[in-house]
Amino acid sequence: MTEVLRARGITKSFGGRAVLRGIDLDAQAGDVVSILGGSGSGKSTFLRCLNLLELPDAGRIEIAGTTAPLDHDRKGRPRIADPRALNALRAKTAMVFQNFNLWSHMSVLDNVIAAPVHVHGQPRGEAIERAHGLLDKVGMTGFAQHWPRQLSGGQQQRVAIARALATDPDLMLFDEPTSALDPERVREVLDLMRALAAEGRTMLIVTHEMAFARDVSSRVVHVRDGVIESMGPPDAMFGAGASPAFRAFLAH
Amino acid sequence: MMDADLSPLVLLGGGPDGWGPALLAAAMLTLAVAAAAMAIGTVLGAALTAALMSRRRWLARAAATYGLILRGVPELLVVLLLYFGAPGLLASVAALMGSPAPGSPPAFLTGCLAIGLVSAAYQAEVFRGGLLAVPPGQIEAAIAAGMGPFTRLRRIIAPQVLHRVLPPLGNIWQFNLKDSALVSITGLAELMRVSLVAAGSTRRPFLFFAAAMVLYLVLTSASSALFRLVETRGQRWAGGR
Repeated sequence: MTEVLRARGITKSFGGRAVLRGIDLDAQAGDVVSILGGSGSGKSTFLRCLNLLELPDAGRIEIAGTTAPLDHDRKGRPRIADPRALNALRAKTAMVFQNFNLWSHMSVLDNVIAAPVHVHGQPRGEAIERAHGLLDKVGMTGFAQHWPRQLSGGQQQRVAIARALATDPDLMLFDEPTSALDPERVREVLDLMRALAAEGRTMLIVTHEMAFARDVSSRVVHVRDGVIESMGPPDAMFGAGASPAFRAFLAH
Repeated sequence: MMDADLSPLVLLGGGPDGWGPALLAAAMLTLAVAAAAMAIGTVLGAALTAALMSRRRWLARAAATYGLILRGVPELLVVLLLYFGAPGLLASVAALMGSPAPGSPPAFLTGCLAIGLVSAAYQAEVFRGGLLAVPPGQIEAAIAAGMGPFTRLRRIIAPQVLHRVLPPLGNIWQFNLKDSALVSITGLAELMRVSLVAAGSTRRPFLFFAAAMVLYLVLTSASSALFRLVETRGQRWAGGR
């Protein structure tokens, strides 16, 4: 199996408060890893460290064979050693955000082709052709020329997923992708993510959707107080073998 | 024959007693002062914005102080300071060093600079507001997609900022046009100055001030129409207006 993610000893503090206290996590190609935990447990921060939206204070990250170019300045603060290697690393990942974050001045189509054209240098015509295919896939056929503000939350998130797929990323990062949606819109996004999992996409998902995590994940990770408290296949985690702390979290 | 007896049409016309060509040339000079001031203001304003938003505290404070001063004093004072004050200061310095005193500075350049310095202070605020209005999540999405700083600026930030700053920049442009009248105090033959001279020498102040008014209105309304045209072209994504 191909290793897609290897994270070792990730730590992060904000203003003296330790949010991540040493997290190790691996993922193989095709893994769907759900990251669960209470608010403030550090699960989103961990996800944001993987594509270096946050710079971890310490630790090592490798994504599809590329090592994150992390370094420290003379005062010991984390910094980027090589901006080019950084963009190369980010280009191997794609992130889906809680608040969609579609670029509001671009049409749906332009949102989907922006990274392929402006980051990966794909010819525009090719990117457009591929984008139409992706919009079909996420159920947004016919919306290519719409503006983001004209779409519902669920539709915006499905476009954001098409945008994430456009660069054919090795690793997809989902940061609470359904938390900002109306309840009746959650399902359309979860169904789409289920389809992506079924076709073998490697996905890391921070979520509060327990049933989804249980059905779709190959592994469930419970983060508490900035460390991985327990992890395992969903059968074990949601079954009799669960750790008391995870059980307490579920009962919450 | 006294000028006071001539008909308005002759006085405003192109004949030997007419001020028409002089007024039109003066209006063009007014436009030139305002445009040059706007350009100076945009370049300096962009630099001030970068300084205002800099993480270096002293730099941000220096830029804020600049804005506080230039927005807080009458523009006429800035014109006077640059045109009369600065050469006076230079003359004293030159005298101390035993060199000859420098002459008057060029009125056109000094005028553009004075209006431009004030314009920069206002434009910096507009740019800063435009930048702060770009949702941070959209910038994060660009970072996560692997866009470097230049691509982010070009593809994500600039189009959104441009759209937001155009209406307030249109206002500043209108102020620049009107404030250029203050440069008349240096003797530069722009619209205000020429209409003053014409009013004085013909003793027909109402006629010439009314003519100046019309010319200023033509300049301001034509340019604001132009601004509106550009604004509406970029508005569809934001919901129109």
